[in-house]
Amino acid sequence: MISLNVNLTFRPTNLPRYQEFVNKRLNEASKLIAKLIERYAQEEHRYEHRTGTLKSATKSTSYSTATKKIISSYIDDGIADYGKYISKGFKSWEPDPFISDAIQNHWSEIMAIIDRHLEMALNDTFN
Amino acid sequence: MADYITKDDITNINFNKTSESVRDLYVSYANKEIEDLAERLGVMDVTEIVTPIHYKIKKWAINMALSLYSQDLIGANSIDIGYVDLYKDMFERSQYLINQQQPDITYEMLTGTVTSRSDRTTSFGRVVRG
Repeated sequence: MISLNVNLTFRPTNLPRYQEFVNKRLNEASKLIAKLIERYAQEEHRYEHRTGTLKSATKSTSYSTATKKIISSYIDDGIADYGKYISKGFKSWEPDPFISDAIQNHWSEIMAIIDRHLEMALNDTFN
Repeated sequence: MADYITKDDITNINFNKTSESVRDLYVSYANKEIEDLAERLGVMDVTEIVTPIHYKIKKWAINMALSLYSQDLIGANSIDIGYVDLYKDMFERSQYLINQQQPDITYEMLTGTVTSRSDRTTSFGRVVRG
C-alpha cells in the first residue's frame, strides 16, 4: 500500500482568504456554466430552426444569494411565447425538453468546471 | 468549421486555468470570428481561407477568444478582495490589441495569396459627401 501524507499548514488567517477566493471562483464557474448550458440548449435540440427566434429566446443567467450560486436557464416568453409548448409538449407535439437535456447530457462537464474552479481557489489562497 | 486556432495556441495563464470545455467554447467562438472577418474582407467562400493561418490572424483570433472570455466574466470577481476586476482589465487589454491588429489583416493574408508588399497593407479613407 502506498500512502501519501500531506501536511497542510492551514493557518487560521488563511480561512477567510480561502472563503473569499472560493466565492470569487464559484462566481466565475457559475457564469461559465450558464454560458455553456445556454449554448448547448441553443444547439442541441429536436425542433428545427426556421427563424432563430427560439434560439435567441433560450437564455441562461447566473446570480448569487448569501449562501447559494444560482444558475437559471429559461425560455424568454417575451421573445418566443410558443417555446413552452415545444419544450413541454402540446396536444400532438412530443415534448422536446432541450434545456433540461442540455444540463443532463453535460453534467460531467459542469462538475469538471466546478472542480477546476475550486482547485483554483485553493491555489489562489496559497500563492 | 475549420479549426484555425486551437486551445493550445492560447498561452494566457488565467484562461488556461479554466476547464477544457470552457476553453473549447471560446476557441470555437474565435474561429467563427475569423470566418466573419474573412467575409467582411471579401472572402465569400470560407473554404478559401488557408490553414495553417497567417501568424498575424492567429494573434488576432487569440485576443478575440480572450476578449469574449473576459467579457462574460466581468464582475465575477469584483468582491471585496482589494484589487481591481481582473477580467475588466483583461477585456480592455484584448480589445486594445484587437483594434490594433485588425487593420493589418487583408484578403490576401486570409487566402494565402500575398505576392507583393501592397497585399499587406490596408488604407483607410473616410468618404465624405458634401
